[in-house]
Amino acid sequence: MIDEATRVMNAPDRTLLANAGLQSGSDPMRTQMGGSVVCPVCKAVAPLMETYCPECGYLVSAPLPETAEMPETGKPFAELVDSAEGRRYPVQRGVNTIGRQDADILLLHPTVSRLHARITVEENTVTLEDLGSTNNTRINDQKLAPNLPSPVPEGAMLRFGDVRLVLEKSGEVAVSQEAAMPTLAMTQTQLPETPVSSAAPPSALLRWQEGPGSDIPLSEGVITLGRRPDNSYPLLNDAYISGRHAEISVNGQEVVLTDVGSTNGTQVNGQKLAAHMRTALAEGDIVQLGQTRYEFVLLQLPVDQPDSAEAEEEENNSHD
Amino acid sequence: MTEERTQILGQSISPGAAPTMMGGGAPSMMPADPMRTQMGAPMQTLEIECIPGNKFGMAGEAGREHALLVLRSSGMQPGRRAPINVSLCIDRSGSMEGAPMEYAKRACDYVVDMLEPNDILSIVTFEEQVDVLMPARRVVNKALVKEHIHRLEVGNTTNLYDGLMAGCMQIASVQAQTPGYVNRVLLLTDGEPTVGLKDYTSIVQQVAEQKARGITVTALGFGQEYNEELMAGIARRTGGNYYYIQRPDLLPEVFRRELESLMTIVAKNVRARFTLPKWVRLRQIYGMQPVFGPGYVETAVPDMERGTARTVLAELEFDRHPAGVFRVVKAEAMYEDVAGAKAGSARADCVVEFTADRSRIPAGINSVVQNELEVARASQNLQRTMMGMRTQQLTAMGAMSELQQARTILMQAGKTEQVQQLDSAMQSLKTGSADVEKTLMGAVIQLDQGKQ
Repeated sequence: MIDEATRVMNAPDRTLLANAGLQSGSDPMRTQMGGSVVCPVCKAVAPLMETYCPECGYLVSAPLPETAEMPETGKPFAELVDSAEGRRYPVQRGVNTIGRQDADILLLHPTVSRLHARITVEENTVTLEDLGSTNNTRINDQKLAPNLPSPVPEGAMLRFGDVRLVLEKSGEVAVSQEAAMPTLAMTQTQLPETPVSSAAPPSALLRWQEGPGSDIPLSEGVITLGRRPDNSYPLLNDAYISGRHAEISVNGQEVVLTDVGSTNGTQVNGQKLAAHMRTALAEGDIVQLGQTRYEFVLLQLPVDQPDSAEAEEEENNSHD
Repeated sequence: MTEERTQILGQSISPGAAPTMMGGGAPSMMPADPMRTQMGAPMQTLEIECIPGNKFGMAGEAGREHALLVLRSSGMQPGRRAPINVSLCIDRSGSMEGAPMEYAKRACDYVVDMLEPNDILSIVTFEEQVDVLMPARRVVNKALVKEHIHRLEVGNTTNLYDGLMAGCMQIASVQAQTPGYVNRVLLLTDGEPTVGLKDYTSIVQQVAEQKARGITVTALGFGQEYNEELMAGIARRTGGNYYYIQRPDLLPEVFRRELESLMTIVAKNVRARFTLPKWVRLRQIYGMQPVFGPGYVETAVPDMERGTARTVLAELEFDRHPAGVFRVVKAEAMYEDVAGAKAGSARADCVVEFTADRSRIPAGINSVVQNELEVARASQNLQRTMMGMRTQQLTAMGAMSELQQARTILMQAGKTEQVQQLDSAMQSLKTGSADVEKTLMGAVIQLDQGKQ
């Protein structure tokens, strides 16, 4: 569907050709579902019919920006995560004010003062200072005296009035309130019947190649992948995996991978997928989720007792 | 009045900023025909536009900018108005005795008279207990319904929460059989809740759930004793209207006005969604409650009457962008098209050109967005003024000067209706009348709901 509210400036297919040249290393035609185009700015793969890159918003029909060198959109030093609301507030190096009005980190809650606190990042240390708020600031339930900076340990639970936020360093292990959950999740995955294997015999496999993961059997239906234990296949050992990271739908031989808005992205053959874009997988594709690399393989024969090692063997025999 | 406002918005269609403009930038498929209301090109029930506060941004720098979403409903008269499912939820506590009760009965009569055979009515009264005077049904015998209304007598205390929930339940009880109906509870009270659930947070949380089920509550506060914060919270959370009714004889007129507005609703359960690319974050939506989803932010927008406009103003935060044209918001409005009893949606892009040339920035400022921002800030200041008066940190004189400032801004922004409310509040402040906050609350809610 062409976006009516937008004026399409150029025929997008011209760009596809232009970008095919730019992307000499990889093959942009590969993962297409009805044609795709590579964003010249963020290199995400977007469907051909999109006027703007769904990932970074760039007008994909425009030529490469004249300032070829990308400004480093560098990640913030850390993030304050509000898991109740599903919001993440970036914490930059230097001083970040926190409050209900005009603050760097804007918390619109009646228990938060207009200028409530400030969080300061110097070198690798983070300090938090209450600025005389009405309803106080707390680090791991420890009330702070006003105007006295205190160090914030990583993964600490910060409270501003009634708002609870967890400090997560960017791209590092999320030692958050979810910390308690993995134990539970672990026992779940160690149970003989995980939801995945019990549903149906796997018809395909993400075979582990490298990184902190292991084989992921794929059976008919939709499989959700992520760090949270409520995913159909929880990925617990890779800190670069988001709570909800990706989804794979298996429909016979058609296997479609979708990044559902992960922080650190999903790659197929080195190309980062735009969030919420469906990408069909083909035999031999290299899939990267977080820090872990997998090879996508189709399993020809249904496996009766799917133990992952056995499944792999079966698979090996059935090919070539 | 509406026409005037539309014109102001129309001025925003500046040449050269084509990507963001509907109406101005014709779709490439049908060149040279910007007239969309022509025969053969059916007008959508809602159309939207998303305008950046500045069409230029600085490349390579982090920054903040506003995006204004404008929703406009078609002014075309549909063949038939949508039927309504309305519940009258009437306080008959002791304080309503005498003229208030008599006028409240007359107001209910008015509603009964205005309904058509397809409409559904229920009547709930509350004092210590809750009575369902009339369960939700079509009004066949108007005389009989009125007879019931006239038998009403006052009781004792005010069980507002249970009364309100009973009204919502009446609506819900027939919802499955009445798709496409406009649902509304008219809650009339003259006092603080004294029985049942009384605290603000719990009540407002419960009504928010009603909104999720498609039920809107219009809060009608009568006299000097009701809790305007609570009534405002109820209206705000469900996207309903708030009225402050000074005198009992105004009751019938206010009910009539509310019913008339219900009968012109063309889109209900309206939601605005901002889908954000990775270098853009949403800081806040002025006066509305944002809900954060993966990659997007949504907010509920009150029902839209025919031929009207509403605005939603969002504050965005940009990470550093390279030079180039970027869509910073993909805006979507999702709604139920009342006339067609079907789902509808509209889309618009908010586009900013990031440039390394700082001298271009001032030329990109959009005056319409600036105007709305001034209005949003005026609303915030009014709320602060009300808070100051309530906590008595603000003297009458201090309040007067703050109201005067807000009045000037609203006047310049063309918000004549709210200016009138401010005038009335300032008059009350001069005469030492207690209803300053009740009056101001009306202006604040209308401003926050983005009514144009």
